[in-house]
Amino acid sequence: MFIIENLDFSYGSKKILNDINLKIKKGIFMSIIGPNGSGKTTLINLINGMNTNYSGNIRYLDKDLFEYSIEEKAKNFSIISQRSAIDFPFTCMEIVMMGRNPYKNRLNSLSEKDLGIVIDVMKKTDTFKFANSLITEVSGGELQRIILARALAQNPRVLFLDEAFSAMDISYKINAIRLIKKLVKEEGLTVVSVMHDINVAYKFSDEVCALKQGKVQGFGNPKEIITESFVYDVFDVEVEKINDKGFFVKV
Amino acid sequence: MDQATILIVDQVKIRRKKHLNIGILLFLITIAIIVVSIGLGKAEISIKDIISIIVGKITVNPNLYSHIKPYKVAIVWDIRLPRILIGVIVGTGLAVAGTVFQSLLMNPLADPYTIGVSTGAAFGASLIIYINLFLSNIQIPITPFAFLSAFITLILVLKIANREGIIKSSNLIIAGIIVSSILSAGISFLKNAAGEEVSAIIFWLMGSLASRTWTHVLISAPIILISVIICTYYSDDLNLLCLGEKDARSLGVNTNKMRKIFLIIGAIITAVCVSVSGIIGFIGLIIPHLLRFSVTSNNRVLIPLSGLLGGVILVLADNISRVLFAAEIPVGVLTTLLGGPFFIYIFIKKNKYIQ
Repeated sequence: MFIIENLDFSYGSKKILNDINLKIKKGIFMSIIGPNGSGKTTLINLINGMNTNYSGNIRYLDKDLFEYSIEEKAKNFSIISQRSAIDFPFTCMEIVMMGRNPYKNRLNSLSEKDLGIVIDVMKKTDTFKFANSLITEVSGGELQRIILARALAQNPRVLFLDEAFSAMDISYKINAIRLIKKLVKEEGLTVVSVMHDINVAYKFSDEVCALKQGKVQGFGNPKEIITESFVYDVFDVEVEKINDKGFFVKV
Repeated sequence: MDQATILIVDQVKIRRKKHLNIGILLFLITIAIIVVSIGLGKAEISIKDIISIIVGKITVNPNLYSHIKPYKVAIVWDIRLPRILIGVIVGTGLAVAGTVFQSLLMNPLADPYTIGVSTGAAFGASLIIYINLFLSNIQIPITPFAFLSAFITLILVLKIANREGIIKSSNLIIAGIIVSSILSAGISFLKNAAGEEVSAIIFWLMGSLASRTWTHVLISAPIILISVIICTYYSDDLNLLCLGEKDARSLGVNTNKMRKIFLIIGAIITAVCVSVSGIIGFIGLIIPHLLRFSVTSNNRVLIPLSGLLGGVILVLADNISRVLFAAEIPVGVLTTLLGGPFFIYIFIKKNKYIQ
C-alpha cells in the first residue's frame, strides 16, 4: 500500500527522521512504537500526507503521495490525531456526520445512505445513545469514541491513529481495538497506529515499526522482533516476558 | 430500524424543524419591526399613511400619497426608511461577519473587529474627515475611502500573518491586534491634529445610523446579501474549519483556499458596515454567540439566523437611540452599553462552554 524510501525530515537544523525505509502492506495493523521524541507522530503525519515538507519518496498505491488532492486523500485516509479538542457546541451526531464530508455535495444535505452509515458507526462505537448531546459536554473518552466514529464514517482504506485511545477506559479501549481489527480482517482496512503500550502493540499488531532517535530500530512481526533485549535497547527499560502473554516491567 | 434508533432520528428531525421555524419567525419579526419603526419618531405619521407612501413609491404611483403632506412623505421615504434599512443591513452584516470570524479563528470570543479591518476603516474615515477640514469648496466622500482603507488593512494583516503560504488563526489575531493598535494611534494623532474640530471625527467613530441615504442602502444591500449567500453556500466547510486546520484538511477541506475566501468575505462585510455606519460594537460578538449556545453551532443554520437576528437587534437599538432620549445617542455607544453587561451575564452563566 505504501512504499517509503529514504525519508528524511528536519525542523530547522534539527533532524527528526533519518533515512526511513518502509513497506506497509494492505490489510494489516501496523504499530509504530518508540520513546517520546523519537519521531512517531512526525512519521505518521508524513505518511498520511498532513505534512508535505520532507525529502525522500512516499508512494501510495500506484502514485506518489504528492499527486493526490486533498479531496482524494480524504476519501482514502482517516486520521485521528493526538489532540482533538472541539470548542464549539456541535451535537455528537453533527460531528460524526462531518465524516461524510468528502462524499458530499455542498448544496445537498446528507442522503439516507449517509445517515445510515453515520448511525451504523455510532452504534459500533457505542456513541449512538448520546448522539444528540453536545460535544463540549461529553467526557474525554466519549469524545475519542466520537472521533473514532467520525473516522470510520469516512469509510477509509487506511486508518491513521495517533494515541486515539489515550482517554478511553480499558474496556472501551479493547473494544475499539477489536472493532478496528475486525475491519482489518473482514474489509481489508489498513491501520497505521502510534502505540505507547508495548503489550497492546505486541498482542494486536500484525507488524511493528520501532523508532529511536528518528531511525528505524526494528520492523516486522511483533512476535519475532519484540524481545526483552529489544525493549531494553529501544526504551531503556528492563522487562520480563511472560510466556506469550506480554511483558512486565521489572521494578 | 429499532425503537431506540427511530427515537433518536426523530429528535434530529424535530431539531431541524425547530431551526426552520425560528428562521421563519425571525423573518416575520424583521418585516414587522421595519414597519413599526417607520411609525416611531417625533413626527406622528399613521400606519395607513406609511403604507400608502411605501406602496405608492414602490409602484411609482404618486396618486396614492398625493393627499399626504409632502414633509411626511419625505420623512418616511427619504429619512426613516433608508435609516431603518441600513440598520437591518449593517446588523445582518456584523452578525454574519461575527459568526464567520468566530468559526474561522476557532475562537468563540472573536468578532468582526478582531483582525483590525474596522480600525482600518476608522483610520481611513478619520483621515478623510481631517483633510476635509481644510477643503472649503469640495468635500471628499468618507464612505468609499473608509472602505478602501479597510481593504488595505486586510491585505497588510494577511501579509503579516502569512508564514510560508499558511495563515494560522493565532498569527491572524496577533497581526490584527498589532495593526489595529498602530492605526488607533494614528487616529489619536489625527484627533489631536484636528484641534477644536475634533468632534467631527469623534462623532463618526461612535457609530450612528443617522442621516443615511438611499445611496448607502443601494450600495451596501447587494454586497451584504451576496456575501451572506456565499458564506451560507460554504457553511459546511466553515463547520469543519471550527475543528482546526488538521482535522478540516483530513476531512477533505482545502483549508488554505477556504480560509482565504472566508477572510476576504468577512472583511468585505465588515468594511462595508463600518464605512456606512462607523464602529457599532457587540452585535458581531453577541448575536452569533447567543444563537450558538441556544440554537445550534451548525453554520448552515447559524449564518442565516445570525443575519436575521442581527438586523432586528440593531434596528431595535437604533429605535431606542433616536426615540427614547431627548438628544440622540449614537447607536454604537448604546449597543456597547447594553451589550457589554448582557455579555457578562451569558459569560458567567455559560462559563463552562467558553472555558
